[in-house]
Amino acid sequence: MLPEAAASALGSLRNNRLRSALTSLGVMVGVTSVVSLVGLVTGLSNYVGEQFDTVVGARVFEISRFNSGFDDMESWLRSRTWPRLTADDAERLSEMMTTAEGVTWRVGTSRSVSSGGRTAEGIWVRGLAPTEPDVGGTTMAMGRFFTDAEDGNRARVCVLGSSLADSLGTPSSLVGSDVSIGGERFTVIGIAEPLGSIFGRALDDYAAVPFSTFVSLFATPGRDVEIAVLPRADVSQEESQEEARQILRRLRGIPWDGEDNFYITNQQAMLDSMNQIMGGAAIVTIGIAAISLLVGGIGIMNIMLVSVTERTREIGIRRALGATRGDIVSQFLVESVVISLIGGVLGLLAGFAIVTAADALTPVPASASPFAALLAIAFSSGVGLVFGIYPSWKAAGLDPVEALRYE
Amino acid sequence: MAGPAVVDARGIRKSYRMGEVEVEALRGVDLRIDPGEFSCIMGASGSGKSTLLNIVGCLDRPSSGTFSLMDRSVDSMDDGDLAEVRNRFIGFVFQTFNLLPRSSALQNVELPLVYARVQSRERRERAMAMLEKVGLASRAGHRPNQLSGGERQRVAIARALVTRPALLLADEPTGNLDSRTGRVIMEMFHSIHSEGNTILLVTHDPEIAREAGRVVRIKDGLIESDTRS
Ligand SMILES: Nc1ncnc2c1ncn2[C@@H]1O[C@H](COP(=O)(O)OP(=O)(O)OP(=O)(O)O)[C@@H](O)[C@H]1O
Ligand SMILES: [Mg+2]
Repeated sequence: MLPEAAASALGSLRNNRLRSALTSLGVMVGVTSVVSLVGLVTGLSNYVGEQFDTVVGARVFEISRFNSGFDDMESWLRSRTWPRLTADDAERLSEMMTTAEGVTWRVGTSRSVSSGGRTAEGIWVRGLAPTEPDVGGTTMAMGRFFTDAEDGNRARVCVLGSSLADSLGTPSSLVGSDVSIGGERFTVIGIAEPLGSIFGRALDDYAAVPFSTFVSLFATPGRDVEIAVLPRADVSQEESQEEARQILRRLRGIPWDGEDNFYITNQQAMLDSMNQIMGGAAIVTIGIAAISLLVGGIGIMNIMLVSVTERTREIGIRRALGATRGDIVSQFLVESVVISLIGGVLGLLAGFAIVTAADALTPVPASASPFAALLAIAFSSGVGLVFGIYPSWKAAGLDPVEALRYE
Repeated sequence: MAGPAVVDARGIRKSYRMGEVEVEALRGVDLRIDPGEFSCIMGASGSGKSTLLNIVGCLDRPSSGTFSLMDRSVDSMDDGDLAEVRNRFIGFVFQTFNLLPRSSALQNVELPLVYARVQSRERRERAMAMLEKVGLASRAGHRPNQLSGGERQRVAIARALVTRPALLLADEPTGNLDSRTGRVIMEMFHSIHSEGNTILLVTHDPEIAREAGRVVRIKDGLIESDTRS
């Protein structure tokens, strides 16, 4: 019975090609959105995970006055009322913490850097503590990092990121030569190993100078820093974070029931907050998919109702020749499932195309999973089934004599 | 009369409600048809001929009365049983042919076998044999709109006979055809009858009625006369 119903369904769809195509379109749009959004969201989520893995040491945690995550205006405004987090805080922390392997602090600004005839604009100039390599894991491709002494006497020395070095000349000949950073003369003492990029932003287009040199030349003393702490290998990250938190609360005079006036984040926290965004995106995806599948389903129901009316006489003929109500139901159900499935398959192809294009054209490694394909097929046949029930039921309920008399 | 009756209808009434008024299409009809009979129903328009034919064909249920087909009471059968009875025991031929417009002649003839759950190969063979019998084997792939009226009715006859029904019902089968084509169709009915089939045919045409072995005249929902020649 089913093969006949399927053949009859395909036949009737072929007879109304345009109408069937337009009807499938609704489901197709729904399935396209499901497949592509699922592909993009999973791709993005994997991408974000990888980015964090490559850049941020898993055990390091960072402390700053502003939330480095993805926060609202309100909390940013609140952060502004808090006391600054300064290099003094960082140094005190470094002295007082027992669970820290290393503590370092960073500032940054944007300046142009030039060497010989070449100039690189908008370079990220970082003021780094000499402890940076211990915590941030900076390794040198050439030369060396600056020392405590150089930081102490505000030496005019700098370390260049690998891609800045590349754009200024031959890296090997740069070491030992002079460059101008924001109009100030510095001697290049080393070139760092490349870090790569995060979210498409190059991480190696920087020039690093000793923290105190930075403050004396490019900033006011007491400005905000970002503190990074590497916990000792034998203590947990939480334990170390908690120690840092308690010390800072004391240093910053927060009463026992007061809220922290700084943020502590780590890779996991950042990932968590990213995942929260992804979760939101997933809910939106599900919403869009549900709405478009609903709209597609209503379109199918509408067309099926039209089709039942148009084919009233056919239904009468089939009933006269011995079709049971069940036969009529299955005929129309199969037809609506077939329309919907066609939409589903087209949507799947379109979704795959979008995901493939996104994969090729953006850094996001989007990919359409077999799971998405299965989901698309299941959803589209489900939609066809559900929205085909009422029209089929109506068709089967027709009185054979009345149906045969229908003009 | 020999053997069980093909049709045994007693006290058949059928009324339709049209809002406030009740229309009595049949007002107590008794009809018995024996195997091998070729009967004609005649009567004025609106006298209840089609209503009776639909009830005999199990397409409709009487408002009251009892009805048996091949000695089996149909009265308490459910919708699914009736569909099976129509499929196995009844062949319908309509005035307006009632072929499925999008299907080929062959597919139309196969249709009753689809509902009889006959496998596709056997279905095809039997339908093709029937088309050959009505002389339309060469038109098997044609759609109804590619066939003449007479050819369409022959396809419809092939479709009605493909399940080897106990009773062939025809409601004015020549009503939409010119007299010459009508003749061809009637010849076909006669040859079907001569093979031992039982036929009940509604007509307005006295010529056709004269050819039948039995004429049942209906007037205002009652049998007026029933004559065998
Ligand atoms: N579904 C219906 N609702 C209301 N009245 C109906 C219905 N079907 C038939 N009738 C009425 O029943 C009566 C008999 O109708 P029927 O179709 O049996 O007549 P008929 O003898 O076949 O006429 P004709 O020769 O014109 O085909 C008519 O008065 C008709 O109006
Ligand atoms: Mg009639």
